[in-house]
Amino acid sequence: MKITYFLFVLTIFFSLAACVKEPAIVVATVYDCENTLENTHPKSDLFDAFIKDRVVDGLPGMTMLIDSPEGFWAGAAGYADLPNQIPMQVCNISRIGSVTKTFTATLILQLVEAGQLELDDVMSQYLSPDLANKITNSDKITIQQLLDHTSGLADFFDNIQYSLDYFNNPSQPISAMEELRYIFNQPAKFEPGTQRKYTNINFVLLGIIAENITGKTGATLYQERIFQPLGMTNTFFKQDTNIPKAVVRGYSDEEGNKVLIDRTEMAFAHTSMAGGIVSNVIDLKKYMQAVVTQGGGLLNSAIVNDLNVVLPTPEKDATQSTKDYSFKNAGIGLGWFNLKGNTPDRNAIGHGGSMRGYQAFIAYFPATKTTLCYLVNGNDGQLDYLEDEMRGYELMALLFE
Amino acid sequence: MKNIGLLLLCLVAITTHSFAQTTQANKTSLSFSIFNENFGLSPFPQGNPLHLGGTVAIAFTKKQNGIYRKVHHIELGYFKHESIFQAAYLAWKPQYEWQFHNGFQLHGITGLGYLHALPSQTTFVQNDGIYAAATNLGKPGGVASVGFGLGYQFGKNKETPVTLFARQEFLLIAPFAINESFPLGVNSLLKLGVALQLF
Repeated sequence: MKITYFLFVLTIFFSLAACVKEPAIVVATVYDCENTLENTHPKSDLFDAFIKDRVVDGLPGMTMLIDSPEGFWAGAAGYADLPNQIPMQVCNISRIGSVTKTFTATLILQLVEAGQLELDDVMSQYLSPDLANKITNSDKITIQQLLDHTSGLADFFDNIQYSLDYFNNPSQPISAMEELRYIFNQPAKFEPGTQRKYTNINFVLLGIIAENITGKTGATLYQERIFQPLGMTNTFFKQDTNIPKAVVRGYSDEEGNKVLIDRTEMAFAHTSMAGGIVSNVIDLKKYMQAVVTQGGGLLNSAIVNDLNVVLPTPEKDATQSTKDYSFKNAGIGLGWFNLKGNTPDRNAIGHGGSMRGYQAFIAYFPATKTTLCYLVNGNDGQLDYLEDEMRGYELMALLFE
Repeated sequence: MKNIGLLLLCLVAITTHSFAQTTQANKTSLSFSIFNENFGLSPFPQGNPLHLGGTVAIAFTKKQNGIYRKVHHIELGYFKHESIFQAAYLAWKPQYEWQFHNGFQLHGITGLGYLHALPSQTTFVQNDGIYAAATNLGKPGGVASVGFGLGYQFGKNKETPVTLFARQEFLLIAPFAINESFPLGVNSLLKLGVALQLF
């Protein structure tokens, strides 16, 4: 009798454990968007086949855009929403992760052009004394060192308490100030200017500095100074965790075995100016081309020629690729990566973004006047590997061979 | 929280002035508890939602010596950690208990068992190039635990006394339930429960 009772309880418990949250039923029209652009590129069929192959390889969905003097192409493959099998469309919007940092860099450089700050200014000049006192070397680190990741500041991602808080409350928005708290009074990783290490907190601080100088929120600054002038009508900055229905769902391969789980809510927890923008490839193309064009609506001075000029550091530069990719990172300039192709005419300026459930990449190849943007609604595990292979090896062949 | 724990322990020590000498060897009890689970060592991290779970355990008194007794629990537990994961475990837990004359009880508990972690959302697997929802049987793992707690026994002179208890436990789960790049997860469980002596 006792054994029967115990087995009954055992059954109840394992039945409970088998319960999973079912995905919401979404109608396809939620993701409907307008794309009036026509594909004119002679290699359009090849490009279409390329992204379809990447989806067959394992990416849940992706959009890509290529614009060059030869023609224009934009395509989509896979699904915006897996449980409802809603196909991805070119105009669908997605998290762009750290590509946001280039938008923040643009705001800062606009302020430099306007004479409201200088690249050699130390950051403590633009922070409240109370805040500056809690950030190591705030009286030494310059704006330039924040832009090119030579500040030596610790990153909130490296703080175990950050990981615990994030996983204990995954849908709770983490504001810029909360991200900063994880590095308060943390020792520097290196003396400012001596090494280069990609650090999210640099752009969290640059966002706060831009807000402090202008007295406007990040959302207003992006809207007034970038989105609106460029007609980026499908781009916005999220500072809360309400997820617009039109955003494609983001999937994570957490176990590294191509078993995907929806992590859209977790991606929307990050709300700082280091990674909070949502956009599509059509808007990103407008932005990429405007950034690299002097007088293109964003930056008016010759500073556009220096965006990805990498100043040498006396010690290590951890932003340079260590793998033998045919297209690889060769350091960071004023918020933009210097990207080296397998031949000098294939060099580019660009930036990638990766956050839970999403990946993004934008680049401009000056020698061939080619713009490339892509968005993927998956990351982690094998999806990261697929994206690395695509960017590191396959893109050069796709674009130039 | 640590300070509150120490204070409670001191209170028990002060109010305890004589020891019970009743014989409770070969007793069997059934206990139930509810608990809040979190990653890390803090039972209630600031601002975090509750991650509720529950246990049912059957316990056998193995050894009794004055106020001290050793009890073996076979415990079945379940908890859900937000959208991250859910887990069910079955563990053997030896408990070392001091039952004082005034009804208060202190105990330390260790444990070893099997934990099965499951996703708490639908997962998708690629088949013929298309991802579709798939049954996920989860991930097996080991669990070790250590904890301490206190309780109060009601009806200690009756045949079947009832004990209310509070216990802080820490679980070490390997492999970590979420990502294989982490070898080990540490979870904190703050339990409130009741133990019913059966016979």
